[in-house]
This record gives sequence, structure tokens and C-alpha cells, in this order.
Amino acid sequence: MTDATLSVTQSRLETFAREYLNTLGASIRETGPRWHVRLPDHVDVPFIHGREFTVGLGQQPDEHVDGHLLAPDSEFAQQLLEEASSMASVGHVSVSTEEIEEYEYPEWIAASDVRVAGASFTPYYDRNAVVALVKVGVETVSEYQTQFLEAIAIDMSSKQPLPSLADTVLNSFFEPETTSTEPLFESSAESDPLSQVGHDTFSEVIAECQDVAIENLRDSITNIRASASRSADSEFDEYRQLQEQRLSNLKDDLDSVSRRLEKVAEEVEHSDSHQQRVEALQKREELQAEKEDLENKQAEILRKKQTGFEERRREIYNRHSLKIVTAPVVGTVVSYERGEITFQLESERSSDSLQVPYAAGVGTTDNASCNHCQASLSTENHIVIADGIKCRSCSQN
Amino acid sequence: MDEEDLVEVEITHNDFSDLVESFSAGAAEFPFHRQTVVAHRLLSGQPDTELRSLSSVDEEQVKLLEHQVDAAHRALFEMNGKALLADEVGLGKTIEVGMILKEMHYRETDDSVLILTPAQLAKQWQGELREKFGLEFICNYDDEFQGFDAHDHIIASIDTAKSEQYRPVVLTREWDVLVLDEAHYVKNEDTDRYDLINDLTYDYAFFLTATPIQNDLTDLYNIVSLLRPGLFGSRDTFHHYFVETGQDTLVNRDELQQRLQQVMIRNRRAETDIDFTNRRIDTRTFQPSDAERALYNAVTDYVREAYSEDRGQKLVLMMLQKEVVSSPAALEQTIRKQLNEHEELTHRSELEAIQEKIDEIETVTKQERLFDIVDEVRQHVEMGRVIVFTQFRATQQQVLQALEEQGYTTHAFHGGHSSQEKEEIVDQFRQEGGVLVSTDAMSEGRNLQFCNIMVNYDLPWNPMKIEQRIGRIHRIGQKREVFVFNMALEGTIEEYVLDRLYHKIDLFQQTVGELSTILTRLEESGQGFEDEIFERLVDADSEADLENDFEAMAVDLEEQQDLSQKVEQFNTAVFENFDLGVEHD
Repeated sequence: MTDATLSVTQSRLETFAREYLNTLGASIRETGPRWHVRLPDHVDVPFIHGREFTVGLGQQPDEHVDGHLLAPDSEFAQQLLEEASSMASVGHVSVSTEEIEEYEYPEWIAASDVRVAGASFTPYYDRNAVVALVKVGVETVSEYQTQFLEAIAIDMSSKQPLPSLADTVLNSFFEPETTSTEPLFESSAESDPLSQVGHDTFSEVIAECQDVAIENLRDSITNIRASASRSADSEFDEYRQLQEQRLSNLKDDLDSVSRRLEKVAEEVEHSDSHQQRVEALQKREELQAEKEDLENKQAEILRKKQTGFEERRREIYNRHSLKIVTAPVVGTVVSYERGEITFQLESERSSDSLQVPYAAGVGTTDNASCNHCQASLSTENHIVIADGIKCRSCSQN
Repeated sequence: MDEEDLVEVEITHNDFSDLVESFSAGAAEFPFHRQTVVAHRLLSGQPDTELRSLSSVDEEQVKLLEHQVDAAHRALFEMNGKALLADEVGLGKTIEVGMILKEMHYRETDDSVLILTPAQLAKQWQGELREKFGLEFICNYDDEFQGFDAHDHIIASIDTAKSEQYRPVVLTREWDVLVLDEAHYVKNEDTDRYDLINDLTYDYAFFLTATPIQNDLTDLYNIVSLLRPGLFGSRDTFHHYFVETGQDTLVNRDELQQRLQQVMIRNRRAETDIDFTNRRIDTRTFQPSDAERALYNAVTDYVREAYSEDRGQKLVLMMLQKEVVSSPAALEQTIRKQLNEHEELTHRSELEAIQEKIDEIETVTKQERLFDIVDEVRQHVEMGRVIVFTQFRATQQQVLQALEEQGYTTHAFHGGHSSQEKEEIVDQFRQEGGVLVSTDAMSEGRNLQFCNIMVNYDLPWNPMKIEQRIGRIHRIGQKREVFVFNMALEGTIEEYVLDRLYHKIDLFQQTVGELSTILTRLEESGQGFEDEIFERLVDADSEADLENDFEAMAVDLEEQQDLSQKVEQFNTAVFENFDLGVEHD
């Protein structure tokens, strides 16, 4: 999983704001903790009045009553970010080994004692992938809403997720610390690079990104779900105890009514006058009604209790259920090179070379297997050089 | 958890036609697209997890330690502002809360703050937050306190807050922040205190205790459930899952730790950089002169009689008893005041007799012996810096005058100076050396580590004040051994307090913070410490009686100390293998 969120620090905000204002064509004169900004005539920013304004950097708001405050949480920063976030949600970058200078070594080399003496990549063809940022919100009544922003990369032809590519693209192109605003790729001379990519394929891949995002967040979601379930359990337990308490109170009330009924029955029996007898009978009738009412209530609770208060349980658990919403917010079409990489490998005693399918920004693209036994290579079953390149288990046999 | 015990999950994939439309319109220029992506990343990020107020904390007033900064950070940003701060004793939980409140003040999320403490500690909290963090709180013991709906930043004793008079108002308000000191006092769900906290409405809460568990694991369940209801599920679930039936021992430690990590921070002394130098205590008792003895007896008799006949305010009588062992000058001031201000005193003649006895004193023994101490210091310590503490301004004046006459460099420090003047006095003392004679108005935040010798010229009856005095010089950053001299006259109340009480519990060697734990345990039994000393003194019929009374009080103190140490050890054992402190990379 690739967490695309960035914590909002003062320096990141300043880098972002400077770049944003420059992109708009603004000029910035910096004097200490203040920027004096002048916007070009043709630019209209909805939340800024006038062409010239002052921006105070990360100070207490009251020190900048005349200008805008740029600080984490400040209204101005929020407005800038929101404005920029809706500016250009689809773009394109190219990743080639010319920009990505360091090769990625597969885990089955990194985990071994074998040293990479050299590597050379031969690109054969270009492929397209989409790197999408997918917002995932998880909501439940007992927890604060949890927000995730996942970066997902999926190859447009094979529909295979390419987790390393998402990392590469984020780190190389979309870090606010990068000072250059020039794209780090060779601008495509031909027409719109997106025209090579089908509209339907793009939609299909974005939809796939939503599923992958959920899959990537499985552990986090499982934890939130367990926590919400405990809260539900706790609430249900309270309810159950309350019902037990009510049953106990009803029992007391019923005992009391029964005692009073017995007493009234005696009064009916031994009444001295007709009047007294009528009154006692009336009382008995009232008490019987009261008793019946209490018995009904008791029976109702007991009935629910017999089913383990299932209805209420379901209601509570439903209320605590997790609501997950995914929303893809940006899509970057990434052209990347595929080909083969040759690793020059050395161990203490010997050396050899190995060719594997590779892609720029992605790393090795196919699952590699041992040439001798065909077993998959992995961190545990890494390569060794002993009479040629083998897997660890081959070398031990 | 079984699948059937889990709540349902409902997934909705939002429509993304906007994105497809943008795609159809063609790729945007890279700089614009980059801005959009970065903006989304920042919008989804945590709104900044830096303690922005940190730079505005005055390092002269408080030296922040790494574990404290980390705790404040985690409590605020990783625990959503609801945390149990459970550091071991003496690691500065109050400082952690001070930083949290300072940060919240900076971010303007502290419109209403309620700090609930044991009664004995309320004023101390107020002082620390003011001196160290510049945060102003009103305390329910202040004359200006008008009730819980009249102020926005309140420190109050929890028992005042739960009293019938105040409870309804406390519960009606929606507090932004609740701080609960010594949170283990709400461990029991069947108490009014627990109910109060349970019924309070607040957005953020910080509970403090070094010993979340007093008796058994249920204490932990109760405290944590107040902060984060549902974290442990129902009481039955908690017992079923974490407590071994029959033996009441902990099972599933890892799971418990994992859950606790969401809400509890516990730093251990062994893992922090705190390292205090040695402290040496030298208690010196002196034979009073005949005149001093006669004066002491006259005052004590007068106080006993006046108290038994209920003629005279208790506070004034207590003051007289304290002054007589401090200095004749201190006593004289109060006696004169009584004689001058109350024309029709029934006991005028007794007071006049005391006045005569004061006049008969030619040499003040303590003063003479102070010269010995100061002389020794001058010979052995750089610039001969000594701080002499007294409770009374008149004593301070007398001591200063006497020292000056002997040719010592002196400095006076009392509550009447402005902050600027106080700064200057401390600065002069640092540069010139000599003797600083101070009243207890010396604020906690003053940085006096450059001095390592202090003299208790007289002894407060409130042990917290002793701890505060020592804390002025024996604090983090003190590099030398610290010497504490205690002065007392034989056969006086001061000697009893020193010998029978303070030495019994090894008061002068207590770790910072340990004492408050013992005292708040005592407070549970309802009696104030100073009152108790006074009552025992005036009620004793004979010297033997007095000795027995003080012995009983000492036993009580020792028991509380013992209990508090046992509980501390128990908690250490339970949390032994837990990693609930600073995360090390």
C-alpha cells in the first residue's frame, strides 16, 4: 500500500504556496516572515481580493490582521489547497531510466549475499499505467472518521497493480520539496499523450484502483472494524444489563402488586358493608389491571431475552457498522519503459550475470524462478552463486 | 473476534465521471497537475503534527525533556486528544499537560478548560502553569473564584466540583478540555467522583496517574473506559479476555498492550535521561538560650489556652506558633499588631508579657548558628552561594541585617518584587555570589541550579513546601551535589516536625512527585497536614502525650508511604514489558 498523505508542515506549505503562486504567474517579494504578492492582471483567484496582497508566514493570526496567514490550519492555506486540488485532476508523466537513475533490485537479490557489481537496462517498448489517488473514508459512530489517501498504480494493458510505480511517481513528481517546477520527463512531442489511451480503459482502470485501495487498507479496516465491534458489544452489554435491571424491578413491582392483591382479596372477603365491598372490588380490578400490565411488560422482555435481545443487538450493531466510501480524485497516466535488465552479480568466489524482465520505476516485472529447479525466488529462497546462479534450496541439495 | 461478533462493512465506490471528463479533455500541463496532486496529498494529511507553541516556551522557566515533548505530541496528535499520561513518578506529567495546554491555547482550542486535582495540589498546579507556561487559571481557593460558570480556565479540587453546590453547573457546561490529576481516584465506578467524570461533557481529556492500577486490573478498565468507552469492550469481555479467572492475573498481554497504546503513555525513569545528583541533608538542632526557651513556652501556653477557650482565630494562633521558632522579630510583628489593632483584648496582659520576653532576648541562637553554616560554605564553595529560606518577611529582614553586619554579600527575594526585579535579583546573586535570603514566594520556575546549598532557617509544616524549596536548586540540570541544612531549636515544635515526621518518611530524600502521592493518600482520610500538626500540639496534655501523638502521625505517614510504594511497584511489574513510552527508532 502507498499512503499518499503528507503531514502539513509549515515548510511544505510554503513550498507549495510559492510554487502555486508562481504557476499563476504571480511575483513574490519576500521580506522576513512576509510575502508581498502581486498577481498578473488576467488571473482571478476567488478568495483573493485585489491584485496585491500580503501573506504572513506561520505567525499568530493577530499579527497579520491586514493580510493572509499561511500556516497549517489557517483559512488561507485551506483555500489555496482546495483551489489547487480542483485545478487539473488528470495529467501525464513519463518514467524512463534516464530520470530514475537508481535501479531497483529484486528482494531475492537484496536478501542474498550476492553483490550487484553493475546493472544495465535495455528498454524494448513503452507501456502505460494509471497512478490514481483514491480517497477512502471509513466512518463509524464510535470512532472519528478515518481518512486515507491511497496511491494505486495499475498497468493499463495487463490490469496488474504496480505498487513500486505508485511510490516512484509520488516521490519523483509530487513531493512539495522538489524545487523545480519543470516536469522531470521528456515532454511528448506528438499530440496529447492521453489520446493513445482509451477512454473506456481509463475508466476501467480507475474502477479497479478503487477495489485495490480497499484491498490495500485491509489491515487498517480490520482494526477499525474490531474496535467498532467492541464499542457495539459494550453498548449492547449495557442494554442487556439494563433489561436485567428492569426485569428485577418488574419482579419487585409484581411481588408488591401481588401482596396488595392478597390484601384486597381479604378485604373483599371480610368487608363489613356493601360499600366497602364495592370499593375493595374496584381496587382489586385496578390492581389486576396493573398486574396484567406489569406481566405483559415482563413477558415482553423475557420474550426478547429468549432470543438474546437479537433485534436490539442487530440494531446496535447496524448503527456501529462501518461505512466505507472510496473516491478517486486524481489520475496520472504514466508512460513507462519495459525491457530487460542485466545484473552483473558477484559473490566471494565467483561472478555471473542474470537477465530478467524489468520496467523503469517498477522493478522486475515477472515473478522470477530458479533456472535449475524452477522454484520461485523470494526473500527466503534467494539466489546464490555456486557453479552458476541457483536458488538457495538448489545450492543446499 | 468471530465474524458473527463483528459489525457489518458497507462499501460504496463513488462515481468518478468528473475524472473521466477531465481525461476526455486531455492531459493538463504538468505544473498544474503537479499542484493538484500535491494539494490533495496535503489536504488529506494530518493538519500538522508539530508542537507549534514549543518555541514560545521560556526555557529559563522550564527545561523540556524529550520524553515530555514526545508524550505531549502523542497525546495530542496520535490519541486524538484523549490520553492517559501514566509516567512513573517524578518524570514531569504536569509539564506534559502544561505543554499540551499551551499548544491548545496556541491553536485556540481551549475556550474552556477544567483541571481537577486533589485539594492539596490545586494551588501548585496553578503556580506551575503560570510560571512555566504563562497560562492563567483561576483556582477554586482564590478569592476571585465566582463559580464554575463564571470562568473559562479553572483549577479545582475534584471534591469541590462534585459537591452538591457546584456539581449541576459543572455538568451543565460543555468543556473543551478536561484534565484529571491523580486519576486513580476515579478507579471505582461506584463513587461520586467516578460519576462526576462519567457525566462530564468534554472534547479532549488528559488523565494523569503514575499508578493506574491500585488493586486489580478492573481499575485500569474503569479509568480507560472513562477516556475511551468501548476500547476494551464490555466489562465481561475485558475480564474474560484479559484476566485469568481465579488468579486475577493478566493474560493476553500483547493484545492489552496494543489496545492501551491507543490511549496510554507511560515513560519509565530508567529509559529517560533524568539523572539527579546526590542530596546531602544536615539537620542541626541547637540549644535555645534561657530567654528563648521562656519565650517559646509562654507563646505555646498562650496558644493552647486561647485555642481551648476558643478565643482567637486558629490561623493567627498557628502563625504565632510558627513565628516563635522562626525569629523573635517575626513574632514581635504579629504581637504588636494584635496589641495595636485590638483595643479591648481580654488577654492583653498575656500578650504584653510575651512582648516583654521578646525584648529580653539579646542573642538569636539560630542567627548565630547560621553564620557558622555560611562561613563553612564560604570556605568550600565557589562564591559562597547559599539560599536561606524563611516563611516570614520579618525574619528575612532580621537575617539580612545580621548577615550584612557581618560583612556578607546579601540579596533579598520576596513576593513584593515585580517580575523584572526578581529577574535582576537572581541575576545579581548569580554574578556576585553571597547569601540569598528568600521567602517561600520564590517561584518554582526560577532557574537556580547555579547554587547547590540551601538552608531551611525555619520549617514549613506543609511538606509540599519543603519539596518546592528543595526543587528550586535540586532539579534537572543541577550538576553538583546538593546540600540541605535544616535548623531547629531543641524542644520546640520544629524539632518534633523534623525528627518525628519529616525524617521518618525520609522527606528530604524524596523523589520529586513522590511526596504528593503520599499526601494525596493522606488527604483521602480528610485531614490537612498543617491542621493535624497544630491540633496535636495544642491538644497534648504533656510532653509524653505530644511525643505519642506525633509518633502516631508518623506511623500513619509511613503506612501511606509504604502503600504508595507497593502500588507503584505493582504497576511497574504489570507494565514491565509494555512499550508505552517514547518510541525509539
